[in-house]
Parts: sequence; structure tokens; C-alpha cells
Amino acid sequence: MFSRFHILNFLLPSAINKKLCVRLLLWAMRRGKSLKCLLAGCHLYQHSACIYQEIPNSASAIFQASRISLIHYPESPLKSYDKFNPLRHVCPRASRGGVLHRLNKESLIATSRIHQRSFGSTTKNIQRNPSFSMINSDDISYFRDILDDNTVIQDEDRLSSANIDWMRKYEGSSKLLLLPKDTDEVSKILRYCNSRRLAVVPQGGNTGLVGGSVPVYDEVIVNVGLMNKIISLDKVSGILKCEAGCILENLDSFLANECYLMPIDLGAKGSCQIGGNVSTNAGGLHFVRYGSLHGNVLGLEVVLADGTVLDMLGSLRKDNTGYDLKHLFIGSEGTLGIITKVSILTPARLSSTNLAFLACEDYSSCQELLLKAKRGLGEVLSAFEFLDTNSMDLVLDKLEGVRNPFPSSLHKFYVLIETTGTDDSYDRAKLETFLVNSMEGGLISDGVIAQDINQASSFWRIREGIPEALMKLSRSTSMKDLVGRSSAKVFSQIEPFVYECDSILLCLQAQSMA
Amino acid sequence: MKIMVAVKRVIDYAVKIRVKSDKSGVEMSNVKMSMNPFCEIAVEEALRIREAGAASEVVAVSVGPAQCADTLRTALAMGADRAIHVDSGSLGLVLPLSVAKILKALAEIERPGLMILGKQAIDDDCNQTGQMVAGLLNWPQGTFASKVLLDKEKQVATVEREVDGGLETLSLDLPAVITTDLRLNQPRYATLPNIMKAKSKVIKKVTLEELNVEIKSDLEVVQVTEPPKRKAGVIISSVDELIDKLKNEARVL
Repeated sequence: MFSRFHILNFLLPSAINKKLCVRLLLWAMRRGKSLKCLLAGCHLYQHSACIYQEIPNSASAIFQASRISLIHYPESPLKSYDKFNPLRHVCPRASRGGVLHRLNKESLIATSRIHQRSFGSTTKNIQRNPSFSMINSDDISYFRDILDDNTVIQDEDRLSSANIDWMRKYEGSSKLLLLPKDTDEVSKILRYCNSRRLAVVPQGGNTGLVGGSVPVYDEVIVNVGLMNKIISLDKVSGILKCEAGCILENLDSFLANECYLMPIDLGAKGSCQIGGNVSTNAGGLHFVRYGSLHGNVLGLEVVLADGTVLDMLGSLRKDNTGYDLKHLFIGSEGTLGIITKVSILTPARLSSTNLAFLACEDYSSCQELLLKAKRGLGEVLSAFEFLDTNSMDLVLDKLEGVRNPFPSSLHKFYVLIETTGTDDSYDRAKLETFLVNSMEGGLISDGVIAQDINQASSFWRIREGIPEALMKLSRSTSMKDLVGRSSAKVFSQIEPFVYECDSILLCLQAQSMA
Repeated sequence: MKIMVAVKRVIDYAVKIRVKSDKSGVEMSNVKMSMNPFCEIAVEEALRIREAGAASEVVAVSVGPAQCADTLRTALAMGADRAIHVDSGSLGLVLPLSVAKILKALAEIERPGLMILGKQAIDDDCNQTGQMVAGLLNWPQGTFASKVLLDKEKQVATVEREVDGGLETLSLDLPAVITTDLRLNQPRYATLPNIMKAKSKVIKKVTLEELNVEIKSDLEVVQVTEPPKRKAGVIISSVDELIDKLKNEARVL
């Protein structure tokens, strides 16, 4: 529900002190939360030693709580460079890991470097692995041999858009973009790159927010955008098979004609591709209803780094035979292989959708509202999204045509609740009753309900426009300006779990004072 | 002064319209219905006039089947004071002249100082009702209004209209009929407290017999068809090819 990208941007440069780090970690540990996000702020790692000292027996507990071990995280990504794998070279996590590793060796001064870098490119500070070859003219002519001429791209203009990510934060310097048309071509490309030790970066719609889809150096970009055929739709089971380059919105409009819908929906739907969605295990707006892609993807066809085609394109939902290898590739960010085909379970498209845009005064109300919504709206709840006043201000400021649903008053938090069901008047009555009860209970301070689809899309525009507004902000201000204010202000801008943490810290303080 | 606003329940603006296979009309079952966008603007304008103190009451009116009550509820949630639902029963399609006659009958009962309508409904695109009701009532009309100013003292409405090559300003003696254009205002959202208040507001149901209006349909819909599908374009590689296609395929050269 919340994008991780905020955390990476905000936590890294923020002036969080040692004690706070310790408490953050402790809090996460007690709550049994994954520490993935927290650990992304590498200077937290530097403070982990204090945790061991200050809180006895905490280390093992932290390891249990976190999915990534504190000890191994900074070491292992760099090791992966040693073992040759053309895809691993450009793994975004690995590249971040490389940065982590370097910074851990250095003193705290390193943290200040992240300040400047958090909105720049990661390529400045890490070294290209010299064991990878450079592209030469023989390579180009080989690619021209196996692919059509107009799918081997060296044109500067087209390369420059493929080299830079959507947020314009990360830029590579690739000299070659390949557009394979089928699995066989992908396989040939990877087999050749493997034999020549050429690094590769797989790319889909290039809409990612964390720089996973662009090269770090001069990797060959393999974009699957031309592999955009819909293979089949089983109208009884609702299982869709398609190629990886299909654009999410095109798939959804195809399914709309058959009264099905994609179980994943996100702001970038007009350009993002299903292969990329699966590779990054994208969550999206309807996660609360349809769950993760691990549950919805029924099969994959993947080309491994050495060109081997792995056919796991099953379409049996209740498949309990043997190992389920496809899960390895969901969320692997293209480090294990390039996804070429996807088989996905699509739910029925229901006729009645209602959307409410609500204002809350504090974060705990938002949480309680979620809990109440799950119980009170039950089967019709299809989305529950959250934004804070800073995001709202940013969107209103940076995007044109966006209108504040509550023009007269200021609120700290905003929540979107969508219901999807089969009976419009029943669903609407249910939503209205729920909202009235929540308002009477003081959870909501104001709210509007969309009266038509147009109003609903303008509400969604606010939530979906946050990354776009951030992108526009990044062009005009540096992140340093944002976090250069007092740490209390920084807190108001960090991700929601910090809000929660903030309130816990207040409680802790109160307890210690008592 | 009372303002009467006519609202129509139509297929939502954002829904993809499908024509029924027997070509008798468009598919209406299981389709999202909403208030006609121009009617929303009409309601908003009436509310703004009331909030400015130039009117005391806003009455929303709709003609149609039972579900029209939902649309009226939306108008009430936006802020209208009460609503009148003229049940068209089993009549099916009610055409602009019939609606104008019904509105005339209602105007004679309610005696509003101003009647505001959307300039047209997005389903039939007729753009006739406002003009017809003004004609039947023998009231002045300001159609396609992009700005409305009301002088309470003089009982005059000043209406700006977007015409070819500029703006036309009309001065209308009240009572008058005004139809709204897209740029008149931006309708408000229905807030939760107002939605709640709307639940206790009255929607009065009126039958055609009570209004003493007889509806005769002198128009018959013969057939509804989809517009021809646009053919996919082709990308050509050279100027010569373009000239060749223009000469031999399109035959325009």
C-alpha cells in the first residue's frame, strides 16, 4: 500500500540520531515488521552495534524479525559481482548493495554523501566491474544478424530515453538497445551476451521508481516492449496468457470486453508492462482486494542468463505438483532471468464501484479506519490508500487540473476507500453507513463521495499523481533542501511507519518520564 | 426567490457506450448511471446564486423512472433544498417536448423566479428542452450561459454567452430560463455531512395525471447503430510511398 521509494529517499539523508535508530529497529522488531526498508538506510547498520550493546539479546531477535540478516546484507551483494552473471551485474539491489558496502567501510561522513546522491545517479560512486566486456562492432553485427535491423538500436535519441529512469534520478550510458520480438530472440541475445561476458539490463515500460530498469554503466538494454501479444484468455476460468511486453492498461481494456479485470492496477498502467510488474512484484492499488502477484501469477516463461528457456507457463490454479519455481522470478527484478510470457488469474469485473475521499486528523485514525473498513465493508472493500498533507500539497502545487476535495480546511492525512461489488444501491448504502459511523466515531473529520466516474478519477488522480509530482519537485529542488529543516519537520515527511514510530516514541518518552 | 433546476439521469460520461444487438437502443442494464454533467453545472449555479443571497430555495426536478430518485439525491447532497420526481412510469423514452410540457406544468405550480437547465443531455444530445420550456412559458431565455449575474432588486439576470468570435451579453427580465454551458462553473463534490443531510430532505413524487400533462410521442426511434470503426493507420517508410498511396489508394492527388 505504501511505496518503499519514499523511505529510500527520506530515511537515508534524514538526521536521525543514534538513539532513534535503535528505537526504530526495536519497534520494528517488536512489531515483527520486516526490516528491509529500515536497513536500506545504511547508516542504521552502523548503529546496529549499539543495539547489541544497549539491549541484550536483541541481535538474534532482530534477525528473526527481519527477512534480511543484518550481518549478511552489506556483504553478500558485492560477492555476487564475483560470480559471473550478466544479469546480476545490473541488479538494482546489488548496485545499492555495492553502495552500502562501500559506505559501511567509511565513516559517518559517507552519510552526508548520500545527501547529494539521493536524487542523482548511483553511477557516480561505484566502479564498473572490469571483468565485463565492452561492446564492439562484431557484437553489433551479430545482433543485426539474429534480429531485424530496426530492432537493434544505436540511435542517440532513443538510447537516451532508455538510459534514464522515469523519475530522472538514475542514468546509465548504454550504447545498445535491443528489441526482441519473441522468446527465441531473447534466448539468442542472452546466450550470446553470456558467452561474450556482456552485461545486460532487462527493461519493460521503464516506469519503475527505484532505478531497476535502467543500466548502471554500458549494459545492453533488452526491452521486451515488442513482445506484446495476448496469447489466450480462458473465458471460463478467467486465466489470461500474454507476452511480457503487454501494457497493463491494454490488457485491462482487453479483459473489460470479456468482463474480467487485471488483479493489479497502478498509476503507471498506461505505460508499464506486465513482465516488469511481475519482475518487480508490483503491488498496486487493489492489493488489499486481490493480493500479491505471487497469488495471481499462475505461470511464467523465463529466459535464464545463459539463454536457457524455462517453460513454467502453467495455467492450472490448483497446481500442487512439485516445486513452484516461478515464485523465484516474481520480484527478482530481472536478476535471475528475463520473463517472456505470463499466465495470470484475472478476477471478474464487477459493475458497481464507489469511491470516497476522506480526511483524518492523525495517523492512528487512518490505521483504525483500515481495521474498521476491513470489518465493516468486508467483501466490497477494493482499495484503501493513504496520503499525508505534504503529498497533497505537492500534488496540488505541481500537477495541473488537480483540485482539493476539501478546499476550505486543512487536514493532516487523507484516505481513499474504494468499494467494488455487484449491487450499486446496496454497496453505496453500505459505504455511506460505514462512513457515517466512522465520522460519528471521530475517525474521519471530513469526506466526499464521488458521484460519477469523472469525480472518481479526479480523486484517484491525487493519489496516483504523487510520484509524478515528486518527479517535478526533484527538478526544481534538491532533496537536501527538503530535509535540511529541523528533524521534527523531516519526520512529518517520512513514511507512515515512522508516524507510527513517532507516536510510539512519544509513549516511550512519557513512560520513562513517569 | 425560488430556483428550479432540471436534472437528468444519463449513462455516466466515462462509460463506453454499447449498442444493443437488435439496434433498438443502447445497453442500459448493469451500466453506471450518473447525473448529466451539464445538469450538475446547473445545480452548482443555482446553489451559488442561493449562497450569494439572491435566492432562497433550490428545487431539483427530474423526469424518469424510479431510479431517478438517486440522481435527485445527488442534487440534494450537493445542496439543493428539496426535489420533485415526476414518475414517467412505463413510458420509456421521454422526449424533449414532453419534458418541456412537464416542466411548464411544474413551473406553474412552484412559480420559480428562475429555471436553470443543462444546455443538453449527453445521451441524446438534443439541446431542445430549455428553449422549448421558455417558449411554452413565454419566458425570456439565456442559453449556453458562461456567466450569470443576478440583480435581486431589479429582478434582472445578466447572462454571458460564448458565441462565434466573442461573448454576447443578454439582460433577461425574471422569471427566465437559463441553460448552462461547460465553462459556467466547476460543480462541487458531495460531502459526507451533506450526503447525510440529503437523506432527510424530501423527494416529492408526482404523476403525470396530477400534473395534467398528456405525453404523446410523435417521434419514433427507428434504429440505433454504432459509428463506423476507424481503420488502423499504417506507418510508411518514405515520401515516395506516401505520394503513391495518396495517388493510388486515397486518390486525392
